[in-house]
Amino acid sequence: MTRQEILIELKKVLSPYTLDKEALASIDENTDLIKDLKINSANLVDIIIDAETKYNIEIDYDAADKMVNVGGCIDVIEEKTNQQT
Amino acid sequence: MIISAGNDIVDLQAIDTERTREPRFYSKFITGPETQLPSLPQLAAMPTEYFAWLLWSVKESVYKFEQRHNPGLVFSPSKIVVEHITPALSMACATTGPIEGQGFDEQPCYNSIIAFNQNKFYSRSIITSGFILTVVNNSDNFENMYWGVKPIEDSSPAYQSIQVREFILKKLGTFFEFNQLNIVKMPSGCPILHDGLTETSIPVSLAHHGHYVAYAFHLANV
Repeated sequence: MTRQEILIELKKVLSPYTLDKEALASIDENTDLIKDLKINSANLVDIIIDAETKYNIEIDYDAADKMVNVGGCIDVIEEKTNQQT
Repeated sequence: MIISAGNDIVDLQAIDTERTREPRFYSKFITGPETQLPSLPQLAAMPTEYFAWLLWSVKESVYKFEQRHNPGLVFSPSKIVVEHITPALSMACATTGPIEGQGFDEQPCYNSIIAFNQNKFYSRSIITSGFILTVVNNSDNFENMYWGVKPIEDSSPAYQSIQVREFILKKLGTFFEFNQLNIVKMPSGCPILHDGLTETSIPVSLAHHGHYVAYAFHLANV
């Protein structure tokens, strides 16, 4: 998967947790999950779990710490899926 | 000693109870020795979802407390370790708010001791049928810590933001004659209390989740 492909799929993971669909539609790698998408921090674990399920990966503590913005999420998903191949 | 404020609110109607009870979920932020805390007699009766969100709220409050003086700090819940919890004598009170207070001497609280970055923190958490509210300090003295929580009608982020600002500014307005108090968010997301264009020295913390908003601020010598 390319980073762009991951980004497209990531929108589906993030969608249940943001009401700002306009912001979600225009996300880029610098988009902050909390500040830009207004995702409540209480949903950060949900996003990690949903990403694990979607990509059949396991996200450890250190990787989870990076998932504060879209670029960080893509980094983690890319790294973990590459480890599987 | 650093003066700061850190709080968090969890709306218990907004959580996914079943998911929270799954080890796969809570093991993302409850780590190491914390997994032994529920076996303590004083916590054995607490539902798993309450325990999980209590620890989450404590950890997030510590992060907010520290972030004020370290804007680049990343929220890493697994590195914020809740070492001990002393429970309230009565586990839950019926109120869903609003409630406000100075310190926690008159509240049934869960008191926690937390370790993070080689520092100790202390928290007070109120658990009701509606919410879990936590306020953190770097000393075990909360007498200068003011806090409040109240239910709101709409859970949209925009409404939460308006309501939590009105809530804290109304309280702060009882102490000062300033009429230009306002909250400015730093690029890090940390809220700063201004009087007009001037930054005040009063540390504030804001929280919202679901149908609740909450504030905390540290104010001495009033």
